Amino acid sequence: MTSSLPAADATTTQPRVLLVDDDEVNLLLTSIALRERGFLITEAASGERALELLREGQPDVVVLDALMPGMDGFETCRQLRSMATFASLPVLMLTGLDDDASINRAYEAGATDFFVKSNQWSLLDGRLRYLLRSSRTRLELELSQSRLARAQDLARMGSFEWKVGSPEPAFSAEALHVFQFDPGTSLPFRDLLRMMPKEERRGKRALLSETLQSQGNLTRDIPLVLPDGQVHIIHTEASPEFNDHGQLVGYAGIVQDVTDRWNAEHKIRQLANFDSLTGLPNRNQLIERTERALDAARRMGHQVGLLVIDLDRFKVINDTLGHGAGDELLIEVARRLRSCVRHSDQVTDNLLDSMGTRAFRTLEAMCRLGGDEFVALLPEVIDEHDAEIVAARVLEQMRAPIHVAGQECFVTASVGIALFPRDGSNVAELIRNSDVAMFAVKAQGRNAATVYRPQLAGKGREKLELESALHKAIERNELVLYYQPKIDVRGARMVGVEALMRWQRGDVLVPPGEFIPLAEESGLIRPLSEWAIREAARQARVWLDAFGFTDSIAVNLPSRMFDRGDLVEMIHEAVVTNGVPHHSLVLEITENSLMKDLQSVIPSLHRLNEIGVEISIDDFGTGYSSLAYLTTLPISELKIDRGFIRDLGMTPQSSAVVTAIIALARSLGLRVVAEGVENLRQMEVLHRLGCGVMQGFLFSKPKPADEIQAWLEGTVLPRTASWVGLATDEVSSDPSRSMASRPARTPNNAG
Amino acid sequence: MSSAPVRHTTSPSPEPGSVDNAGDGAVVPQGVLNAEAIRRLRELDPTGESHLLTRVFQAFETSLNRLLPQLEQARNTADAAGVRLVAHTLKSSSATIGAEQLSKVCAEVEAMAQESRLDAATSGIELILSEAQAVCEALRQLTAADSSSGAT
Repeated sequence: MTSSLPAADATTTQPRVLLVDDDEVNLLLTSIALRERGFLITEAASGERALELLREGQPDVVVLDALMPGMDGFETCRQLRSMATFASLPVLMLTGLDDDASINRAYEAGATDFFVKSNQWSLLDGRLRYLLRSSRTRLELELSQSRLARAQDLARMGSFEWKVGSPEPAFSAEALHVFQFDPGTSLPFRDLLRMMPKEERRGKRALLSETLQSQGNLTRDIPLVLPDGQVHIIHTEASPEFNDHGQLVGYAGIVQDVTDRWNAEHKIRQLANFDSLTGLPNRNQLIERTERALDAARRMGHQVGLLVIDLDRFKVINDTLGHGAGDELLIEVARRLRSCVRHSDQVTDNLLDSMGTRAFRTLEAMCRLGGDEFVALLPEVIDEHDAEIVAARVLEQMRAPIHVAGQECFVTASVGIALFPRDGSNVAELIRNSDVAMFAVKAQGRNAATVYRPQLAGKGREKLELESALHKAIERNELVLYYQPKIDVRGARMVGVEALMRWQRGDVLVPPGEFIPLAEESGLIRPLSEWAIREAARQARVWLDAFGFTDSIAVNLPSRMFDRGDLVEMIHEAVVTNGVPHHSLVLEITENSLMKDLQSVIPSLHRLNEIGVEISIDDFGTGYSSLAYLTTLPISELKIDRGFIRDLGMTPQSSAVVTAIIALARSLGLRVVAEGVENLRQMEVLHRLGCGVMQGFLFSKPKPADEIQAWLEGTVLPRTASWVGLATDEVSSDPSRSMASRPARTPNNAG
Repeated sequence: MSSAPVRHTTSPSPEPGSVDNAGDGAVVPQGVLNAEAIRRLRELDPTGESHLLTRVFQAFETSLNRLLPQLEQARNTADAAGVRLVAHTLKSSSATIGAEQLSKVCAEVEAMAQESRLDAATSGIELILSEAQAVCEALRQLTAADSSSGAT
């Protein structure tokens, strides 16, 4: 006889039975019979003793005699059940054959089953094994249920069922936990609806009844205000259940708190769809919204308006005030533009639910395409006038000055308008055509709006493509400088070069005439010119090292570069960085642009002269130079416009002009250079008139930097070129020789 | 097997130590013990190594020694519940060892005690007391034969 319960041991496969009977005979016999059949038996002669033994260890099954003196089987069973650890321990109650009352009492006391006392041991054996098996199954089920509950709890998930006609779904304890309620709380639909934010209620109610009507699946993220006072996103999924006749009997599903996931997704969506500077929807979002708006328009047959808004002169602001100020300005512009439309930040499925067929109107927004370019999407316009009203509002909003970096900035915008379906059938076409319209506005003087017309297309589009490509040309290293030698024919030697910009766009070498005007118009000329200065200084150094180049490289600059405060510093830095003297660079400015911006340019010219950078007036003779100014300007060189050179020897007027310019230069103590010399006759005439320094195809086309040295060594130094000798014969008698061979710098030599 | 006495087979059983063999020459009071019940008990201990019968009968005697005084006391104090409990326990243990007559009387007394008819149960109680003595006597004879047989 075992006096206490065998310790639970994983290796023990024998079922452990606690046998409780006050009848010694039966106790003895039963335990012998069961041991024989492979059970581990612990005996107890009373209920009290049984409970004592249970405290020491848990058997797999308890066999309990119903009628015992002292604590009877029923009471023992009740007490046993009241202990949490024995809640699901199988208890077999032994009763008499004719004792129905005991059987009922046994169940009431919590017995798992009853067994009529008998000495048919195999029956008891079978009954016990059945009990053990079902108990094990039940334990496993409970375990898996509790695992499921735990998993659901971790996933903040719970299940529910709903029967047709019931005012409330039956929520599991886990589901109620999701809603932050105690188990057993009643949660009718009415209360659930009240937990929704007001604006969601109507849409959700409609959604529910629609789902019911179609007997379809329900999958929705529903915002609810839970008892913690926060809005939680409850993901709800339910599928319909049908009876054998195919009638809907209810729904079963799960609820899950997905607030965290939703927030994370929201953040990702925000990053992917919104511009981080202004918070406006970005290009992605614009395209998505426009596509949805076009879908709705196709369905319902209305027009959609797209406005491309580009700020005028933004690059100037960015360049002069810096990027920080530029960003500040963009934020303010974005704020103003936003107010021009019924802007909605978020387009959610939830919102679309509640808006019904008019949902597409929530697509209306102001977006930022990038840089200083914005787009307004108008999901429904009656005609182009509708869109023009918005455009007018945009221009009006820009009128007030914007304060950034302690300055008042006046910003204007150019607006291009395109309408679906007239001006384009998809997003790309609409954006392109409103771009074309916008560029047309720019070309006509900016600060206005215009609606797309097909005739605008050709010019605008090309320009657009060119401009955007030019933007990238610098960073892609597509720009190169070609160099055209300046020749002093009297000494038959090179006295300097002019740097000419080329754009290596793929296989094509784009000449400056095709992109410089555009660069000037778009403001890109500034970065282009800066690049040219640095590159020329670098090249001067390379040639100095390669063949002792000590002449100057002339770089063309537009007049607007001269009103830049830091031009002098920039040039200084470029030459110092490359270790070449300041006079390695000569700046060429056209006569026209010099005269146009004379007052703002003069201070810079003086400062440049002070540091040793000479100024040359390009295309001289074509503008209307005030000769009085010319005498006071700190300039060193005049370049005769190629137009006069071309006609030299053909029209008497041209040689008269050239003669006058040479005379003027001489009297002011300026060097004079003839451009566009193409043949020996022109050279001969120029030489005769007293101009010895020339430039043109006769001597050399503009060449890449690495060909200059070879050209010098191949043609100039061996004196093999056709032009060598023609002029040098007279070299000793030419009075202007000292001019052409780099005289001492004479800044302001008139004064 | 109502009131048949323990059956005797004159031919020896092939299994030594079985009650039939062991019972050879033993006098068992007729009608007190059911032979079938005894046989079933023997089946639990086919070789007799565990001295099962002896242990069972000892257990029965022990419980008689405990229960019979309880029964008398309950009868004397007119404690119907006490009478019922003793009758119930004795009913099943006597059935187990094949004391059918005793078990039957216990069942009758239990039923009457349950209905608190102790007057009606008086003769039954007397019968239990006397029958129990008879069963004890029969068991003593049986175990004596059993243990002597086991000793052989």
